[in-house]
Amino acid sequence: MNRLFGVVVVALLSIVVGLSAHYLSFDREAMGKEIGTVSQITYISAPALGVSYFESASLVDKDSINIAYPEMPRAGKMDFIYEK
Amino acid sequence: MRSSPFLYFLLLGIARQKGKHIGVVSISLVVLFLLSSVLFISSSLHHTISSQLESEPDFVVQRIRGGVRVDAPVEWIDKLVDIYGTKSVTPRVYGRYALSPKHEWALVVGVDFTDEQSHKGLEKLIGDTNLKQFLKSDQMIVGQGVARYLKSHFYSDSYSFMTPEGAFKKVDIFKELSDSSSLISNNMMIMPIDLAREVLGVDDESVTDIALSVPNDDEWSSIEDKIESLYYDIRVITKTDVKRIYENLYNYKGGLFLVLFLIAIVTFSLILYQRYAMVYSTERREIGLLRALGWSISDVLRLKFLETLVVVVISFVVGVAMAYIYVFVLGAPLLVDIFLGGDNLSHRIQLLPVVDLSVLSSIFLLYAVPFVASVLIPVWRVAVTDPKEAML
Repeated sequence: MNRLFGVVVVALLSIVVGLSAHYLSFDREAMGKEIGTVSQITYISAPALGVSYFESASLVDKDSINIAYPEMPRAGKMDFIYEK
Repeated sequence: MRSSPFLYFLLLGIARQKGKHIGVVSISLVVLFLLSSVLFISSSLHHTISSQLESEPDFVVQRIRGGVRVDAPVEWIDKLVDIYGTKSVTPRVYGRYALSPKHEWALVVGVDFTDEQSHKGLEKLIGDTNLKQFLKSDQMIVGQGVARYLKSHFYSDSYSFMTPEGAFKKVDIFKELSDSSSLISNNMMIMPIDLAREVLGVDDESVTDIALSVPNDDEWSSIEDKIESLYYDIRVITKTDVKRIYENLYNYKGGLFLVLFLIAIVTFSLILYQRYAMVYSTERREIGLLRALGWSISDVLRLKFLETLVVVVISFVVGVAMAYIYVFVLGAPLLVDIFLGGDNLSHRIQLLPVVDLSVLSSIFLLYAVPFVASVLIPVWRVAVTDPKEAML
């Protein structure tokens, strides 16, 4: 039984060590570099949202649909990035 | 371990009720996996977009007619350059192009490669490939989402655009951007500005909008007023507006999921409470026996607390690890569509690993406190009763 719990503890530690290694060794620079270059030449740095063709493309529509939470965007407002 | 009879007894108890604990761990894993995945995606997108928005132009100037953006005349550029304090006034030509009507849309972006900054950027982007070769004919660079769509429709080398005049324009695919930039380039088709004008039907005297920078932050509000007073049909969008909207967008979604998680965790606690409130006769007998053998109430509670803690720690570590692998190694298939939309071109993005310790500790507390409470309260109720009654 002690051996079983020893195995569980070792497995948990291995998971923590493995994920920490992945987190620390991830090449953030390379990823940021290409996004930065695309953004530099296109002057567009908004995410490529996969929205439907009929969704609103207006950024300045400031009407609120929820009095209790006026900051909540409309469901069809994700498209604003193309018009910013 | 053998030197501690209490610990040995604790492990023996856990091993004896293996089936019960595996069931609780399984439910916990589902709850923790979903919550951690959502928070990881949200924090990763938030971090990446925030850092990219720093390189965003300070102002974007558009022309509005009937509440809808229309192309702006190029002479606006001169007016904007004349305003003292503005810098890097850049015309932009871009627009959405329907690859398949009402279904898949790409973002056609025209780039002026005679501009020094764009030229250097292009050199970095295409690496050691010959730049002249790219510029000598009608060619474009496409994002991964567009590339996948085109390949699946047998456009592996070139694509024929239909211009607003109804003519076909064949453009060769020069290069595909890698997955690492898919967050912003997934639906992009980058091409020389004149070619983009032709594809989108933007004439030489117009641009889609104009981007500009104002290096001195203190002048932002006065320059915004100056620009707005230039014309009646002008709209100025500041970087602050864009940042605020993104904050709301992702906080709203993260917040929504947090509310759902709270509902799930309360339900989970109620199930556990009900489960332990009706402590099985064997468990009641076990607690009564321990009390009859001389264990104090605190000893019994300590035993059950540590037993629960083992379950909580195992569930937490495995649940968060599963979420990490799902989001940052596998790219969060399906769930990422909730954040980025799934109606248009499919996403296969590489999310930047961002693990916020405050988020992790919040998850742990939100999960562990109700769990431990829902176990200890019924156990305490049994432990304080007379051992004879408990063993009945």
